[in-house]
Amino acid sequence: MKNKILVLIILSGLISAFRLKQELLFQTPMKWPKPAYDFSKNPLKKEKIELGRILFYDPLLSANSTISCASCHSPYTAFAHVDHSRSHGIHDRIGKRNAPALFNLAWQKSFMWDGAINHLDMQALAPISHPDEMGESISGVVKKLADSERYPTLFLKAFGDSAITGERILKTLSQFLLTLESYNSRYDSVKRGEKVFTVQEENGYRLFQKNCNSCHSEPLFTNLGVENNGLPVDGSLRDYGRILITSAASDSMKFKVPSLRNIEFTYPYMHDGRFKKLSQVLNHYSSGIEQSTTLSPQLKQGIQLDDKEKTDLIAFLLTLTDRSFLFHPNYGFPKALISEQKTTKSK
Amino acid sequence: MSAILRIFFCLLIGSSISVSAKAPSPSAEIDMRLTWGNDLLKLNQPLICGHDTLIIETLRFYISTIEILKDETVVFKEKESYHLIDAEDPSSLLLILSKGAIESGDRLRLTIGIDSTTNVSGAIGGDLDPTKGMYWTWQSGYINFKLEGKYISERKKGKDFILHLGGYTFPYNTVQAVTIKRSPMNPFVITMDMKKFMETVQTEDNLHIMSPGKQSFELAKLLPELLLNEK
Repeated sequence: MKNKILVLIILSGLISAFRLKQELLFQTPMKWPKPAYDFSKNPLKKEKIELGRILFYDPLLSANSTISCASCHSPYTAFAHVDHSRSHGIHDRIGKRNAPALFNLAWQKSFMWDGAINHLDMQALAPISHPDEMGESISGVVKKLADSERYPTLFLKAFGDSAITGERILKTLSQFLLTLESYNSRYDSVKRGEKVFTVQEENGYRLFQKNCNSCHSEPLFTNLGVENNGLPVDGSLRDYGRILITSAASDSMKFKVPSLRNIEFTYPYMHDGRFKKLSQVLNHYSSGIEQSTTLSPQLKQGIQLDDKEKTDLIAFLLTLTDRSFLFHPNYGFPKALISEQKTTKSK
Repeated sequence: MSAILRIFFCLLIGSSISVSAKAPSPSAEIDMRLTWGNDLLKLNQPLICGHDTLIIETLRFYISTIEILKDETVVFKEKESYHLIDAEDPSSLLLILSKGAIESGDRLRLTIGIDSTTNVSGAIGGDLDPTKGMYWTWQSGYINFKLEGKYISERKKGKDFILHLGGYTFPYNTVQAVTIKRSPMNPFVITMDMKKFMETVQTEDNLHIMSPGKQSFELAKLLPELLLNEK
């Protein structure tokens, strides 16, 4: 009996230690909603996160080993793609859309600009297999990793055996992506009572709350849904958004509402990167909206702001930049791949 | 450090709790037989279909949520019940279940396809691993039934058929529930007659279906009738 009580005490201690370890790898900020991702199906582990990070930066995942996830999702720009309006992949093929920024993904319930992907684990399948992006197949990736010198050992460290499967690749990528959390911007400091807005920022915040918050809802700065924000369809791309997935007329020209966090660094803006500057975005909302039956009701009259108000609103949006996220040492190019590059160069 | 804790934990549990080994239940196999009429289906071999001849190059589908019933009561429910049946892989045609339940039951109930909950549950391994080629990469969801091939008869030479039937959301959920009455003579063999399917399908105008929707939904409704417990 005494032995069993002792076991129970030790067991509870171990469970608490495990939970604490999970919390250190991922945190839900105070007053934020509960994450949508079910961590119980993929508990975070340091070795898996690191493996996911290496995979994220490894161009081996593409058909001709030239394009990695990081080719379009650059860490210093909130994992967005800033030097092209539309992202390009292998053989310089250009896609139809701009790669979105990656952060706070644990709260997202759907992925891609049209919400086509229903779970973070499955998102990587799309760019890996798209002929204009990485042009590979998940089966091909499994084979390449299994044939490599590096990966069997990394999978052994992460999983306890060296088996490489599609499931494991996708889940380790998820683990790395889940750790990309951004909640330490100037705005967050103000909300926590650590700092105060300037007068201009405060004015901009009031304008934001009045005009933007219904779609770009705090604290995630997205309502996690799809909306038609009045963009005219690009005649050459003919990208009608979510209707291409659901075939429902009510989804015409609806795209996922992106988070505005780190917006200072996630240009160009919109699903096809048509706007290079925030001023162009605000001008669209004030005078560029195309009316349609699926237009978000909040935008029927547009967002009418004078020049000073636009400046103040932009000043507020710049408070959403989180430098601790942009330059986080755990998110950048992994040392394991740097060592490989040095070895390759010296040969 | 975490490895040391794990070993310590296991030793403690082992020393204070007696573990009784459970003998595994006797198992039996359900033999899935893919047929073309009265013959076993062979991939890449000529098959007569009405006035035409065709070859089937790929045939894969999911069977899941297998249950055995006796007098309308479930007497056996398979855990982790997902099976990818692949005409190219003979080992996939044997479903290993509990022998006792198969012998006592009078009905077999299963699903052709993967349920909606599993479709939204992220990456899964085994027969559900995305490397099996049964998961749409551009839009989330399992392909419940995949049939590919082409006509080789002169009348339709070169015309191919690519049928990827999937979709898990209302109103076009293609998952099909099937109940099969057990044959007293031979309870372990289930046939799926693809000739019956193709004879109906080939009258359709469009034999390229690669996304969820109405067409996928309508064709999926034909699948349950193809499954029979062989007499």
